[in-house]
Amino acid sequence: MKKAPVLKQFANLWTLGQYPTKDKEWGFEEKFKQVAKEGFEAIGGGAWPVAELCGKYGLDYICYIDGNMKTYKERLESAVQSKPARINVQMCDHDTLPAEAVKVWMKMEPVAEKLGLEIDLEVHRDTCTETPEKTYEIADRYFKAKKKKIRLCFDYSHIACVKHLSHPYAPRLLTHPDLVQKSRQVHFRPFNGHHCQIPATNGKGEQTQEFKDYLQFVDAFIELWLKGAKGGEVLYACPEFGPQGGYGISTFPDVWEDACLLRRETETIWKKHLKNWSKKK
Amino acid sequence: MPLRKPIKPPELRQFANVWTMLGQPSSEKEWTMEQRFRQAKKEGFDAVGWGVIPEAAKLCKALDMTYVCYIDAHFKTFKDRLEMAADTEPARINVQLADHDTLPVEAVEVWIKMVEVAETLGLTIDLEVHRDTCTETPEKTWEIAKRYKEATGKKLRLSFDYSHFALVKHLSPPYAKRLLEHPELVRVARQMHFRPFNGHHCQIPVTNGKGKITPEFTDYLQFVDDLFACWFAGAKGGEILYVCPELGPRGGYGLSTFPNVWKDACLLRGETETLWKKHLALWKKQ
Repeated sequence: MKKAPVLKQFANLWTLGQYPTKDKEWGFEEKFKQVAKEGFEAIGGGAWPVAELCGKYGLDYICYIDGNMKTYKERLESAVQSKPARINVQMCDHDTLPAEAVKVWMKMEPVAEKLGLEIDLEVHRDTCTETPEKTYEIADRYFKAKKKKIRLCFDYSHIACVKHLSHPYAPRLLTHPDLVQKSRQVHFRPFNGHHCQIPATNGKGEQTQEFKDYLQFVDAFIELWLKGAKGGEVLYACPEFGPQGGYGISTFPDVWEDACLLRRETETIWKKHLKNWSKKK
Repeated sequence: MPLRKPIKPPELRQFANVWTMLGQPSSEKEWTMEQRFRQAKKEGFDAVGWGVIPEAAKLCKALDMTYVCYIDAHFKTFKDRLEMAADTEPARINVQLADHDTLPVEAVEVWIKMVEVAETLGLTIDLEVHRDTCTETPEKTWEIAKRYKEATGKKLRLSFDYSHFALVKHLSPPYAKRLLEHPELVRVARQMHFRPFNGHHCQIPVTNGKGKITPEFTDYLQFVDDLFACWFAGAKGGEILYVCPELGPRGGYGLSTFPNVWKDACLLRGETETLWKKHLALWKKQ
């Protein structure tokens, strides 16, 4: 019998910035403890020496780095200390051409491999993947050069906003099933076509309409991803909410509570589709 | 020695978008079209804007207001759209042109033809900076402006809505440095849409639902201040700038947790007027 694919959800330490309050922010270890307590299998953050804490709380680590032609080696080397399961790379700048970006990525991969690291190229504004056109051009160029599909870390909130999308999102966003199925890391930040982050709840514990619309997209994504799963794959997913001061707006409810809710909803959706996957296999 | 003719100061005309008033004051007891125009007048707006609505010209005359007509257009539809818009007797027309995947070289061809047709109809058109149109990114917009200048020798007249660029480019405050990179195009503009934004939200709430101004809105007002400073630096006198404190209703731009968007738009109108007066006073001194 084939080993079932596994979902590992990770909390982003970013979500816990100044949490629960600016004055009484949880200590670094407390954040790991809370993340484990809420049922997350992993935690994500910078290139920090977190291996001991991860071991203590039974968590995997996802390391976030940026990188460009000048810095990628140094960034990868510094990521090693976090003993990450995967690395999320925000690469280059908003004005980097796909032809240049793919060169950096192809240099970065062998260095990562040598260091025993698994890297994913994040789809993110203000980097070389700021638009779907640029992202898919990078993927095409990579495929032409390497005869392999590029491994992306999708954060669809960026593409949805750049492209001014309306619900249902899947027909416009899941245009490259091959790349979805190849991915092993995804960032689930609830969005609509005008807001890169929407609140999951209305501050009174009820789910917002926008969030319900978004969950349909999560459903479509997981269904599509599992269609390509042969068994044994691990998908790292982050219910990712930014704190106040940018992604989080001052009137939004508690982002950590929203992230924990999204974790539970994602798990429910995953289990539903995994059941169907198991039946087919 | 003959007396110098006094210079007429630039004028700000703020217009309310009917879109903001959808579902106001409640979805059950929504205002009629006439009531919307009257509410806009009551709140101190000088004009109203929206699509091609048959009662626009009549209501504007009755209330001593002007109209800004919103249309979309592409190569096949622009003539029809302009002819229809003429019925609203608009002061200006806001055009959302073509699609997100239209190339600048194609877009500028349509715009040049459209300007000619608009002129024969006595209409003044502004090309809106907007996602999901040919101006979805700054790069595309500036390329259109460059090509237009090369073809006609004139500066392109844009209707700036900077919320789109700020979102696409993931900006942080202060926004002016990244957004006001083409002062010559800011100064030639005669229409702008002021939708409060930050770098991740195309619309932010002005207030926190308890009447208090949000920190995001304070950052945004700094941008409005900088934008007026830039625009006035090019004003010679007699210009009319149409500005819309534009907030979208729930179901997209407006989130279900946001406070009342119409009240927020009225507050923004007042804040915009205050900033305008400040810059006008400085302009007069100079």
